[in-house]
Amino acid sequence: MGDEFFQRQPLLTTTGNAGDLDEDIEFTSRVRNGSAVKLEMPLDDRGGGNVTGQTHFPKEKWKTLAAILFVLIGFLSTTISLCITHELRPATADPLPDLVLDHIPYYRVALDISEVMIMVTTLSCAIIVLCHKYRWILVRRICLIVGLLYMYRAVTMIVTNLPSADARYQCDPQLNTTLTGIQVVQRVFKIMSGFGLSINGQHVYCGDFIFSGHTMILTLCYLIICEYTPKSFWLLQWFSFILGWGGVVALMLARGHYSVDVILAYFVTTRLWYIQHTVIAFSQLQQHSSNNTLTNHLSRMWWWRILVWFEKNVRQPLPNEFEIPRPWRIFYRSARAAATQAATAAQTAANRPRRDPARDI
Amino acid sequence: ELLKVFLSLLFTIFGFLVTTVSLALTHERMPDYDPLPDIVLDNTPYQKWGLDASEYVLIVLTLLAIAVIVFHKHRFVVIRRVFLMLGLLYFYRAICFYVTVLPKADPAYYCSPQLNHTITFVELMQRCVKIISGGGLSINGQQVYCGDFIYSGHTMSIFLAFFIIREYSPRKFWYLHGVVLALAILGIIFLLIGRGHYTIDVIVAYFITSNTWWTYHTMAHTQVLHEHGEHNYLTNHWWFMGLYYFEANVPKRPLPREYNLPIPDSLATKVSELVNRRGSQRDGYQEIV
Repeated sequence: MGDEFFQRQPLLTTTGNAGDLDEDIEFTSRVRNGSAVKLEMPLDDRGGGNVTGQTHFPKEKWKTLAAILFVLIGFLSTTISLCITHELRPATADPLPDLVLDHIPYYRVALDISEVMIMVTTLSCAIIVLCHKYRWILVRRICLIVGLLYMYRAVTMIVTNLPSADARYQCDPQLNTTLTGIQVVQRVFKIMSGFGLSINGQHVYCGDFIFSGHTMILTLCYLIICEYTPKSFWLLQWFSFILGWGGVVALMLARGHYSVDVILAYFVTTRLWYIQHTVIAFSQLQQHSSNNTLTNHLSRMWWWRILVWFEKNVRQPLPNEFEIPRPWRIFYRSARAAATQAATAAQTAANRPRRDPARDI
Repeated sequence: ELLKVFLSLLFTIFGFLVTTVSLALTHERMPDYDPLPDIVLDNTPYQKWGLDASEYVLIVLTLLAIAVIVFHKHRFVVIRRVFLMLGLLYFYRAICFYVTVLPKADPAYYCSPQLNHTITFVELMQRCVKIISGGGLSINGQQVYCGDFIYSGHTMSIFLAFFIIREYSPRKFWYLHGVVLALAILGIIFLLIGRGHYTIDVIVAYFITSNTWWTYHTMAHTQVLHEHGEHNYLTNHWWFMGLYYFEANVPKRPLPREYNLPIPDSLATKVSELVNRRGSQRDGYQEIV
């Protein structure tokens, strides 16, 4: 009696695969019922990736959360660095001689124009990323490079303090005492509420010259738009290019930064982008060495391991496909999953007594 | 492939010249302000001998790097690479310190007085000759033109020498690599306490040198990175064509670490033949006996 009972148990148990619909679960379960074979189709049909047999790009949301944490650390370090730099900078020194600034006219309003351009290009970039089919992977990559750039900026701002390029810019007066923790926190909130732009009047802490955050964002948005939009979007790519140049020219006209800040920002942003995306694209560069000799020198970068961890399961270049993001689908999906799970459980419970024991022998 | 070596040498000389002209012109624009606030310079005591000490360290490291290159079997490949990168780094440097001029970090350093008129071509050439004769080092008293702060040529050369030694000397010399790294860091510390440069100069120099070195060598070791492709961003570098041309006949893997004396091949063959004949003669005698 006992042996028959155990022999009649299915070989593979059907487990509820509605637990996490976001992961692509492709296994099928076979339930023996005489000669009948029960195949369970995966419940998730999103994107058609499974149906057509294309490479799957796992979302791995936890990695994206880690990337967001990384970029928040970058923002925080830059903001704290700015608070301290403001105190250290030479407030009374004249601006340094500069090849470009000394030969162009000064327009105060150009800084606002430059920041409007930054907002436009950032917004278009954000729309592209949010509407991209593989937005979670994109956000991860962008957070990595933005976090890196902000961390580097935090270091370069604070180590050597240049005098203000624009003698007429209103900076808050310096305190003559050491900053207390509370004051730093207050300043951090004030700076973050302005997002680093002076157009809303929150950027009153000066000294952040090397390297230029404005140029960095303009360059980065152009690179993102060029990489993650298909060739048919050439108008948008050109528009972003013009905005980038226009933003930099306007920045210089307003004496927002020195020329060396702009050059360094462009150099660092483009170099890091090139390295990051080449490592992503070529799997050899995700290996440290082969045959016991170091072939891949890019692995000596301190952030290489983080990048490799992020990109481990992205095996192919991302196709540039877009869709309207539907955040409510998450709730819908959970509700649907719960309903399906309940239905499956009910069906399994109902199925068991119906099986004819005689047919399994 | 001596033509390529010659071209790379020309490129380096071009970089030197551009830097020298740039320095001669920057000197005129240097402002007479107090030194900028700097996190390291303001918190460490000033030592007058710091700059000289860092230059002695630089000379030692450069000689070691040259020795490594000279005794490397594939010395011409290495020389080409080093010259291309040197030329590149000097060219970047020329642009950086010319566009925005920082005031002197060391108030006690002697800088030639500035001219009150626009510099003439003859004066420019005279200055260039003076700077070149000093090789960029101040220990021989020729470096009297100031203003070349961002980024630091001393740091760049020190780290370049370190990278050369680490990459092209035998792997089992790891103790040498450790000593060279320690010397390099010491050289930077001496430079900073001698107020030779601001901290930002050192940081930017390290970043640019290390990034260029690593990018170049990764490209040289990987065949697929030599092909233009939609996803190969490293070909976007403006100097990619130079790399492609120089590395065209070099197998795309790390250079084997083999060493020999820097004597021409024909001479080396003759010497080894002589040694072998002597050896076989001796053996021949022994056999007869």
